[in-house]
Amino acid sequence: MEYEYLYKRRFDIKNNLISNKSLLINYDIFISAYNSSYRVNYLIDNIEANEKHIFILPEYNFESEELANLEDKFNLFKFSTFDESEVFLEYFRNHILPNIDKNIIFDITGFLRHHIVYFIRLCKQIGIKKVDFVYSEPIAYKNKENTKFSRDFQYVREIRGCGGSHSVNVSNDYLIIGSGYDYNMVLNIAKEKKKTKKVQILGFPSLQADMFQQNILKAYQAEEEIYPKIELDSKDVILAPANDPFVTASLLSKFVKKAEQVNPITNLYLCPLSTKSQTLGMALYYIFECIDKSVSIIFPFCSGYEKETSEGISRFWLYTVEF
Amino acid sequence: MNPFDVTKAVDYSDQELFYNWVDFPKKSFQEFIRPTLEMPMIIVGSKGSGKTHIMKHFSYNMQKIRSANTFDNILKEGYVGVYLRCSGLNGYRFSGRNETEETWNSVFAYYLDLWLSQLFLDVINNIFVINKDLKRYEDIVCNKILKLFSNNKEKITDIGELIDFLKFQQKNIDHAINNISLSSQDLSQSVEILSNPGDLIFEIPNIITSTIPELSNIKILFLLDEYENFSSGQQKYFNTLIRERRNPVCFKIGARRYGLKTTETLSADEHIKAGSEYELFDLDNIFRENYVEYKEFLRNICIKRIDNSQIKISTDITKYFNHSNVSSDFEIIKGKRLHVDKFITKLKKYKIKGINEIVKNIVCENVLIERLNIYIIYRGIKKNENLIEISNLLKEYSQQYANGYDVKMYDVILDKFKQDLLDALYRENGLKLTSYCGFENLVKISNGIPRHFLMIMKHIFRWNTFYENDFSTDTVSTEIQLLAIKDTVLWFMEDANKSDENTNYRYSIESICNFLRELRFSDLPPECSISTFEIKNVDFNLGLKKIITFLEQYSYIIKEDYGRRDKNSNVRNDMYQINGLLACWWELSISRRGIVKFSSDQLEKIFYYNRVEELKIMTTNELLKYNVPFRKGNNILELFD
Repeated sequence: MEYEYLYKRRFDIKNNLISNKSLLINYDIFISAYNSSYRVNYLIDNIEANEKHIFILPEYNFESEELANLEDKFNLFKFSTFDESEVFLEYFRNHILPNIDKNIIFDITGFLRHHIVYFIRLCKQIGIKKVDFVYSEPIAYKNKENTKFSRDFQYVREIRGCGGSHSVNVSNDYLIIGSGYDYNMVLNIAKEKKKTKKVQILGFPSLQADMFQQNILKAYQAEEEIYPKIELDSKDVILAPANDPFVTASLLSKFVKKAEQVNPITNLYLCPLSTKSQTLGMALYYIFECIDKSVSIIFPFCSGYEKETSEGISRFWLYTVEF
Repeated sequence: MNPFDVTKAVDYSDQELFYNWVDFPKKSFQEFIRPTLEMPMIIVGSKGSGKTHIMKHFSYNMQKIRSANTFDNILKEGYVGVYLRCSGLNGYRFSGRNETEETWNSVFAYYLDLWLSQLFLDVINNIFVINKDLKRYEDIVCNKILKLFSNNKEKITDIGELIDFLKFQQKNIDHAINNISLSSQDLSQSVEILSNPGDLIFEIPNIITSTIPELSNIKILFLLDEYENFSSGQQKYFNTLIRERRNPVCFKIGARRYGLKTTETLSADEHIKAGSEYELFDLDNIFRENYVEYKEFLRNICIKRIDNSQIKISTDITKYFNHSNVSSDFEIIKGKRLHVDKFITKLKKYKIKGINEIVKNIVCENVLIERLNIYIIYRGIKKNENLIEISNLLKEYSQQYANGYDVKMYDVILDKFKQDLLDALYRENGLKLTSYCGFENLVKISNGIPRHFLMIMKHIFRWNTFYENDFSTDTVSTEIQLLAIKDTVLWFMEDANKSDENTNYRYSIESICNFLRELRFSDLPPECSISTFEIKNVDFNLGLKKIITFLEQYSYIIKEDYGRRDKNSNVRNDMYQINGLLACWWELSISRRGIVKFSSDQLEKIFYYNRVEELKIMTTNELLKYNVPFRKGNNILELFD
């Protein structure tokens, strides 16, 4: 799979306007998950679509009065379930299958990582041909490397539909973690899969110049659980652009192939905890190369996520995925 | 190369495990574990106690290395060990998605049977490679095993193919589970269970040992590590296997403290019973109750690891660690004498008469005795005694003591409070408490958890490298030891970052340690060597129990064996000591002598973050009893003009 051949385009925001907006088509369906970040709201307001489907996820814990201004403007889909398959399976039946040939754009910015992965898995399963994904970049995270994203870790499990059939031979198991600021989650996943070789994907170049250093600071805190220790020139670190899912998928694919040449990987676990773009990349790698193999995407599930973690919007990316 | 870089057995290869293996002195792990024992054994221990290292020692891979791949030597051990890490099974996928618990449990049981059987057959396959003569039984063995599956029409004559067949069955289940979330198919419709629960686990070993005469006397030892990774429902199934164990199968199950979530079985909700149906082996207790051997064990690990890293050291490991240097520290304290300044400030604040004379009388050359004199003056204040008279007496006593005479009053207090007074002296003069340093103390701090000690050693080597010290020639300074302890505490506290609606475990730990520290460094502490607390069991409540269980599970607090009987009710109270690492961080004692008693209400105020305001009031009132001017509750004792 040549991931780099997939189409991506950058859209800058200048004076609060999309600089090359004419390049955006008019979509049939725009799908987004609401939270309080400016960048999520900016895309909801500025991307043209015939229907705007806004998901209200229980993890953000919104009160109904906080959603009052959305009720009249958009098609809201409210959920109380934390299970990603329960969020999307019915929705797909009712809204995606009847519109399978329409132009769909999915904003990954506000969705949680397990939703993004499951959405892509489902697209592949039901045979959708093409979806545009959009991801908006913040100017900064609120508290730099100490920004809190998730609350109350619950358990680790595979993301629905992404469980492989694993081998009883665990002698050369790998855990590849897309490592982000939420290092407590990195710790939780590393502890769950203790007897694995741990590889971290770090976002480089990062979204903003200072974010790579901030990411490294957090990665060092997980060092004891991620033996051996982190060294940036180590073979156990994959440096992939924080905003490029296709290069991420490509590097991931190359890494696994290279590791397989040295010693066949017995079981592979992937865990997306870095940027949503890299999450998209990991999911693409999974659906194109890992289904029906001893590969799973696992995730540390939490009962809550912060509604607002970032400041502003610097630009956004459009990624066109042809399944 | 840091010899202590690896602190977890999971990070070692089998070769490295073998290379770094250190047995327990006097009574070996073999004698404790007894691998051929028919009664199943559950091995419990804290995180870092070494369960995995020990269990893997009895696995087939290690047997092969020990016996240099010779079949006869493996046979001599009397068993073959089949090691399973329960987390590898991904047990979390067997739940939810609108399937009933009953469906999940039956699918899991079949899945576990298939998984363990693959592991076992893999071992047998390997034995066939080592001893090719045994291959003549392969056909008949495969034939018999296939009969355990209903509706089976397969013709398999090779163990490798048989493993593939089991793998195929397992894959069908994985596929069916995955598909629930991608379609509307029910699990029960898509999974076909082809064998009875437990049949594969008990019968495949039976077929092997009864068909192959060379293996007829061999026990098949299933070693299940990380049992806590199974849900209660999943454990219920395996507990049933424990109860119904049949020869030649033996079980050793490793679990964290409280990792055994249920003792229930599938047999009409009956429970497995410790003593009659399984043996409980508490690794923490073994290490804590056999302190001398434990210390020797850690010493041997240290020497082996350092030696394996080509660093030449002598067998007397203790000489490489600096201890607290009291005489040089006293010189620094003499130069500062901040403890005296604080004493004077306190006396002035409460307008004590004759301050100059009292201070002149209690000051002496020996700063410990000087601090002891201050303690005695505080006691005099509490008892409303004539302080000038006492100070005159202390002046005499100090001189007698300096001249080498016994002073009974001093001896009695120092016997109990010497370390507390020393630590107070250091603290009041702004010095770091170095009484935690030295090999012996580092062992003590680890509280029977080898990984804690290894972590300290790892950081000692890191800091040594940073300061360009050579372990073999330079002793490890107290500064480096304290830095290493600090790094280890930071790691240790990571597990406490858990919270829910009413509980924040990190807060609970910090709160109890802060409270005990305030007591320890009060003017007249209620007990000596504070780091242990007692709670009345009679009015135990679920909320507290949840916190205490968590803290004990992660060894933030160590339960003392028998507790104490309440004088009035004769009910045994629970007693807990603060973990050594935390004790260092919060400047508490690492010895267990004095015990602070709490009621449930007091402990709730300490543990619950939403009762912080009540805790402030409680702490203030409690400390009034132990600090000058020693008030009782809100009533000020009329000691002063």
